[in-house]
Amino acid sequence: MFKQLGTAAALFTLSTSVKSADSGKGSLGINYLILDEMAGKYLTICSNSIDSENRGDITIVVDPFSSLGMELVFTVSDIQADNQDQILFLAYSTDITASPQIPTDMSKIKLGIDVTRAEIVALYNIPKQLMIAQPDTRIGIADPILTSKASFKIRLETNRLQSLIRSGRFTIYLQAALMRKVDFDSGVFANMILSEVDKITFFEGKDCSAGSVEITGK
Amino acid sequence: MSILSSKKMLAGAALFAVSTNVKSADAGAGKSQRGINHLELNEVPGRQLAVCTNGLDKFFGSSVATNDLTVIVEPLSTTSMELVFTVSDIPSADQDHILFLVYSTALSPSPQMNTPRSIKKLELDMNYNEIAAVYHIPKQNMMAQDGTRIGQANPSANSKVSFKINLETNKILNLIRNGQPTIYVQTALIRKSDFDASNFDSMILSEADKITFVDRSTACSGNNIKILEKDDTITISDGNEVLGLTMTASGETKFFVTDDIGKIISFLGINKNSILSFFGVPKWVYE
Repeated sequence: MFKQLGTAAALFTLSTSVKSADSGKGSLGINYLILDEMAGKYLTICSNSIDSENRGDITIVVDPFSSLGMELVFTVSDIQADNQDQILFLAYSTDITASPQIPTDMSKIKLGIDVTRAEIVALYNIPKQLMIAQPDTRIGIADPILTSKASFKIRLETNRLQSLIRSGRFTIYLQAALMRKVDFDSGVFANMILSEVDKITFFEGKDCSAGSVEITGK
Repeated sequence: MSILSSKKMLAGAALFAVSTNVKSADAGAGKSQRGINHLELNEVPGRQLAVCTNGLDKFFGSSVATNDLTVIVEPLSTTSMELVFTVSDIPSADQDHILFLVYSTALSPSPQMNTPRSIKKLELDMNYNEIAAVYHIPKQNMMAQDGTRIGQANPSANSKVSFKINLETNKILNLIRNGQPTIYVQTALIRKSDFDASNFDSMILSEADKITFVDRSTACSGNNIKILEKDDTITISDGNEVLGLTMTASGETKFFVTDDIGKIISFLGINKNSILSFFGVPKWVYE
C-alpha cells in the first residue's frame, strides 16, 4: 500500500523541485523561510511594531528577580510536504558576518549569522508525508499538497541570559533552516533553505522603555 | 494511486455518513485545548476567488477571520477558483494521523455521530456530506534538545497546516441553480488506524464554517466590481501574488498585495493607475 504511494510521492517531489534561488523569484517554503517570534509564558517583548509580522528586531525584558522560566515562541513558515524526511532547526549566534560562511545555493536568503559563535537551539524532525489522491466532489477537487507552519517554544533561562548580558553579548541573531535529513546527517548544509536573520536584544529590567510596544505572553 | 484507494476512501466516507451512534455531547467538557480537543478552521481567498467580507479588518492577519464567507462565482471569467483552508493546531504525535475536510449542504440539529474527545461536535448533516480533502499527518519522532547558552527548546512542535481546494465554477453554479448555494465545512483529525477502521468516534473537530456561493450578477456587485459596497473585499491574482481590493466610503480604491495565505505584505496605493504602473501590463485586470 505504501509502495503505491512511492510513485506519487516521487512525482510530488518533482513538481516541487527547487530552482536555483538566485535565478528566480522568492517562493516561500521552496527557496526561503519566514521566521517570527511571539511572547510566550512569563515573557515580555518590547517592539517598535505591534504587528508581529513586521518584527525581526525585538527586545526581551530579563527580570533578574523573577524565578519564572520565560518562553519564547518561534514560528517558521512555510514547510512544504516532501517525500523525504527533513530537519528544521533554529541556530543563533552572538555575531553576524559580512559574508555567508556557508554557500547555500538553494536558498534565496543567505546565511547571515557567524557560525563560529553559533549554537543550534532547536531541532525538529519533519517526517516525510505520503500524498493521498484527493476525491472529486460536487464542488471541486483539493490540491494534494499540504503546507505547514511550525511553531515551537524555547525556555529562556534567566541566569544564562544575565551571564550573556554581563559579558557584553546581550544581542543574539537567529536564523531558521530547513534541509533534508540525509543531508543534515552527512553534514551537507549547502542544500538548506534559510529564513531572514532576526535580532533579539536582552535587556535587564522590569519594563520596556517608553514609546515601545510591550507584548506580554500568556 | 495512494495510501487510500478511492474504494477505501468511499467505504470510510460511507461509514462516516451512516454512523448514528450518538450519545449526549457530555464528554469533552473541560478546558479548551486547540489540537487536543478541538481544531480551528479558517478560509483564505486563493487564486481567482473573490469574496465578500464585512470589512478589511476581516482580511488582516493570516486568514479571513470569519466563519461565514460569501464567495462570488464568476462563470464568464473563471473555470475554477482556489479556496485555501488553514487548520490549527496539529501537535506532534507518535502515531500517523489523517486530517480531512468534510462539507455538507445542510446542518443537523444534533450531532449525528458521537465524538467524546472533541469539545466541538459534528454539526453537518451526514446525509448530504462529502469528504473534500484528505491528508496524511505523519508521526513525528521527537529529537532531544540540547541545553544552550540561552536555554532549551521544547521537544514538541505544533503545526498550522494549509491546503487548497479548486472550486469548479460549473459545479458551484449547479449547486446555486439547485437551490443549495450554501455549504457547511468542518475539519477533523483522527488517528490513521481509526480512520482506516472507520472508527470516527475518536476524531477531534473544528467549528462548522458556512460558505455561501453567489452569482456575481446577483450579489456583492452588479455587472462590475466597481460597485462593491463600502469595505467589501475581493481578491484577484496574477498567478503568484494575490491582490486584495477594497472600496472605501469615498469611492477610492485601496490596493494591497498579500502572500499565498492571505496575509497583507504591502500597500501599493489608492487607485488602480498606481497598480497598473507597479505591475506594468497586468494579466489580472479584472474588468
